[in-house]
Amino acid sequence: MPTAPTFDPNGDDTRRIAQWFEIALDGYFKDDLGRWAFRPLEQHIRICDDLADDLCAIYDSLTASAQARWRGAICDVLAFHGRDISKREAVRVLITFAVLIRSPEVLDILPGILSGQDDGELLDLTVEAATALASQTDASRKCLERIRTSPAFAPDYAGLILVALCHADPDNWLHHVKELAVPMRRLAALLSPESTALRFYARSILDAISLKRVADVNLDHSVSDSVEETDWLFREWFQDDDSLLYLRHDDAGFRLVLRTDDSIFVRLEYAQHVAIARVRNMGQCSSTAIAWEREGDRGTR
Amino acid sequence: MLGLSSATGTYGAATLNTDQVIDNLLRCTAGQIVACNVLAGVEHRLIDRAWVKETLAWMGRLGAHADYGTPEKLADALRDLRAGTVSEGIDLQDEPPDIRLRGDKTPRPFQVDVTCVVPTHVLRSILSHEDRLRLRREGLALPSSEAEFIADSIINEWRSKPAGVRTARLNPNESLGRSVAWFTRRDAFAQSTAGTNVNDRTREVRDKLGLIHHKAGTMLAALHFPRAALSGVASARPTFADAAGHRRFKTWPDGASAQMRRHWGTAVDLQAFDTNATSVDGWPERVTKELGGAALREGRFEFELLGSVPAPQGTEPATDAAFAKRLAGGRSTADIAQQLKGALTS
Repeated sequence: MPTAPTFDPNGDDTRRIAQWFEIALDGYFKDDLGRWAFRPLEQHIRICDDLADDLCAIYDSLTASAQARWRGAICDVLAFHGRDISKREAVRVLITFAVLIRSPEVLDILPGILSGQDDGELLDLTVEAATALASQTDASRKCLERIRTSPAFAPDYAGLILVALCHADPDNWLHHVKELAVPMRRLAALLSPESTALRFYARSILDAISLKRVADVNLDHSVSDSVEETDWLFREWFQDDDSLLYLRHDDAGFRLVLRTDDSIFVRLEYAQHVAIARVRNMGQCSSTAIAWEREGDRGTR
Repeated sequence: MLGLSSATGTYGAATLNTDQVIDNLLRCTAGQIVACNVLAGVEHRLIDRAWVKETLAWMGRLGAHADYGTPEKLADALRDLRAGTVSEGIDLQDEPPDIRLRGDKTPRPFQVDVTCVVPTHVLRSILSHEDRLRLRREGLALPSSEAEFIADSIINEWRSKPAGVRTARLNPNESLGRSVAWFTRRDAFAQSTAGTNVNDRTREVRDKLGLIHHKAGTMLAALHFPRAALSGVASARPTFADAAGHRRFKTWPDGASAQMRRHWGTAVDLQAFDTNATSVDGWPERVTKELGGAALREGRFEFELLGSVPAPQGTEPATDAAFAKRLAGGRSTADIAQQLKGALTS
């Protein structure tokens, strides 16, 4: 039986750990050896809910330097076997494991295991992992962008990827909104009329980038030539009775930022807050009040 | 009181007899928990003595092998017998029996709607691809841990969704549970979690179901099954063999009402145990073999994202040794050994 009896989880190098993973996962999924596939760590494989949880328990017991080598080994195995359909279960466990231990290293590997011929499972796994591990780092942004530009990418994931990109790279949120404009339109077409998904994405983007970044964008240059690309987001932010952003009427002055064919985006500053609003009819806009597109109980603020 | 050291037991090339298995189990904490639960099952006539003896005899056969050659490893033999995967180096000549679902004379389908609580990544892995894609479109991620940036906002989003959104088909090629799957009554789950906030609710679910193996930060989800959906699935009151070394399993509940409920086991309430409460009875529980294939093929199942397991606050979590001591109820390991051996031979 191919096992690694002298395996030292704390002392072995990345290559040995990767070999151990390969043998152990083959033994578990192909040879049905149960926990004995993981010798000499079989006592840690509790077989409760998911194998990834057991691997986490082992990982938690390692030294910090060994943990780094384990994360490297996960990447090596995924880079080598990620596209192997016969090892899909093992790949799923390793990616789940990487997410649970929040391995930033795996972000470099995830896009590479996607292929245009994928059945959808790998895309699902990689999007899930890349969004779960999203943080304000170059590695995170690059991973998400590589997934977005992969031939395997599907519009079903556009919203999740966009929110994650805004979280990873908030200063360039508008760029990401524009880059994902087409997939977002396709996604919107797939949603049911009752869906509130676009509202959720708009709110999540706002959470990710903060109101200040919305206000700081130079809309004169960045939005005026691409209203269509950002329309869904601004509509969710500023329009409708329960729009995400609104203003209280107070003594602050409002500054007009942008006017397009029939719309105006205004930057509003009051107290410690800034926001941007969109107005359909210039005639209803004054220096002390904004007339919103929708009349009625919220007609004038 | 419990206190025997984990000294070398009786091991060698020969098969251990039942008495030796009991003696060796009682030399480690995990084994003490197993032995106390075996004894409680026999004393309260919840399990068949002949079957217990057969199971211990199989542990004795495994105990002759180095892979099971310490008290701790012998206790682990239950896990392998439950999973049907004993160490590959052992030639057993005949197939070990299936030791699962022996808490009922005749395992039977659920008579009530039930709920299974799992980490979100487990739920995600058993959702059908089509429904997973639908949820992705809706932005309804199932975060694995509270460390994910979207974790906070997504819980509220999930809760705001109508029940129809929170239903899905399951993938019959996957399975729920490994060897066994654990369920509680849905009415108990629903009643006890009403009106509590996300953190309190997740803590309560974790505690009331004795899910000590889910560490702080793990996101949990509940999967609900109408009884009709599992009409072809046998279930039973859990025994020490189904628990297979789970560190907070208790065969016999403390309270009279739970004791009257013969067809349901009772989970250990972790908080009650940590605070040394008189009763540590949690929610009712039953087990099935791992669910897959046909059992998952039909219908849509309701699920909900609960939240992340909070870090322990205030009271320091009690140890496994303290739990073994509680199960022993003031008896020494020698007392338990004597009583268990006596119960199995009388």
